[in-house]
Amino acid sequence: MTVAAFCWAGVYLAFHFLLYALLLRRRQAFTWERTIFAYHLVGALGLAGALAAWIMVAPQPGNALIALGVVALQGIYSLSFLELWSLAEGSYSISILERVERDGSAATPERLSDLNRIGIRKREDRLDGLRRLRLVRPRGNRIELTGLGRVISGGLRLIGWLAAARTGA
Amino acid sequence: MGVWVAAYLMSAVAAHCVLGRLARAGTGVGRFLMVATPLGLALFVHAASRDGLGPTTVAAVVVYAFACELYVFLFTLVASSVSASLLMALAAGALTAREIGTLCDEVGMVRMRLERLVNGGLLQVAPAGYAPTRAARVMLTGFRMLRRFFRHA
Repeated sequence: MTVAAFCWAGVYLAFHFLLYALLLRRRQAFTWERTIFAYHLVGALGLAGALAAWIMVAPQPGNALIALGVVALQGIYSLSFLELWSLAEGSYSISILERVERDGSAATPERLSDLNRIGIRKREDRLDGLRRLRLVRPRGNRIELTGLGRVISGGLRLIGWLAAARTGA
Repeated sequence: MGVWVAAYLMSAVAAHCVLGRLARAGTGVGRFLMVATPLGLALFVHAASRDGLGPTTVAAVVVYAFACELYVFLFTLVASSVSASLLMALAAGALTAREIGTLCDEVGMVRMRLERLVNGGLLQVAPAGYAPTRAARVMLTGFRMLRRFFRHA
């Protein structure tokens, strides 16, 4: 059964991908970020539920790690898929690379300055997005973090510190 | 074995933390792969010698790989996401729209991206400006195919 768990997970993930590739991607709703995200979230929750039921039916040592491994397999698939989807949709760096490729050797920082407009638009979009997610809120003429926003901001700062990441988009 | 997976992962993150402060050359992802890949192989050998080449060993390696991917996703998000930089900027206190504009200044955003693309080996500084490297052209071809596949406008 333990080997079968991985085999079934493989079949399930192949089905999940093929369903999207052959059918769902042609639908308008599947060009929206929230639909794609929900498609993967529902798939992951379904798999986790089935594995939880399996552990309850067969509570043997090692099965919990195997179940976690199967969920991790779904995690690798979904995270890779969503990252590629999002990067292909509109990464700032990809936009810059495409512009440099188009302009050839004439791509100087001055000539690329019109890309700043993308930056302004992105900043405004993201601020709206954070407001909708209730991570920030207006207070007078200022914008502040909500309680949840503070927790997430703290987590991001910790990760940035651990990775010695140079922050600033 | 679950505890060992956590121990190997924490070792990879700790080694990345130290390496990030000692060597600034290359990219964060490259530095992480330098430490996480050998540790992943060590975990595989450790798990296989303990439990044999069975599903438990595969599960341990897959959980480790997913945790590594999640960590890479999160720290690249911190370094390059506009939303993440806004959240971190607001941690110091409430800001006006104008102050946010100064902090996340758009000219700086383009300059920083260009610098990162050069460091990541995707752009080269040509005499007159910038030029994409061969790797960048291959990557752009890949992203154009993906854009068609995902049906992005």
